[in-house]
Amino acid sequence: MQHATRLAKSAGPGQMVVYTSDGRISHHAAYGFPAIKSPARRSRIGSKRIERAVANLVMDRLRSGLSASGEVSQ
Amino acid sequence: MAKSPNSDHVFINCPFDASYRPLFEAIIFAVHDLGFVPRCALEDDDGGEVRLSKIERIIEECRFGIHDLSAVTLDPVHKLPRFNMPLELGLFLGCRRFGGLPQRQKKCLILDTERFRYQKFISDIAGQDIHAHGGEPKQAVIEIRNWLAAASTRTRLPGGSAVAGRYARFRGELPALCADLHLPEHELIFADLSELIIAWLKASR
Repeated sequence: MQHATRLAKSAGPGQMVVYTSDGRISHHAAYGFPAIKSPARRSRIGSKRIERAVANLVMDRLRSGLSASGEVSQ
Repeated sequence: MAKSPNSDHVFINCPFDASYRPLFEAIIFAVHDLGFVPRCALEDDDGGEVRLSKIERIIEECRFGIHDLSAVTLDPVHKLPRFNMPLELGLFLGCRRFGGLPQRQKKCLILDTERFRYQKFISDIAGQDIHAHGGEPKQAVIEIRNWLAAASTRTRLPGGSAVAGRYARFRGELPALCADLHLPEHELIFADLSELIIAWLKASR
């Protein structure tokens, strides 16, 4: 976590987000970006489901990035 | 005693129909990305509150307002213009003028397709901050960023092109997010869209 924080801080504007195994955000910090404020009203979909959907998307991005660089093989 | 408006809150006065949806989404995205909170009449569906009272309450609570007059055109069926946006702009300006000392801090941006089109239908607003987006979401994002940076005097706001670039990426990934949630895009209500944007921004900036 400390190393990730240093990286996020040193790379200009950056963020660090830590997901739990069930896709919830357990920690988020923004460096050089405006802090993201909570919405005026909560969605009926539920924050858990929304964070999980975004976590799945992030994992897909990482997998396709790794796959494109040849680090993941079938 | 009059309430003080929240300096993070931005009242969004625009059409809510499907043809305006790309601009609406871009405005909501930009406001979140810049660290503010968008508010609009769609934020809750409390049937017990009269719509005008709800709009008045939200206007009172917001320091900033973005008013898009680009849809003030003749309805093809009824041949009448839509007056909701000019009415809500008038409420915002009236609140600033007559709402007591705390409300005098209010600032608003007026958007239209062309910069001087307003002179033909609402010329009394001359002298306000009026900008053109040309019907382009990217241009609307850039105008909002530049205006909010000046109006709020906040430093370290990301540039308009960076925000517009992130919006384009979000738009590209929204279908996958909706598929994961088993929710068609057109059924996303304002609160859903806001929370999706926030979660996406936390993972993607």
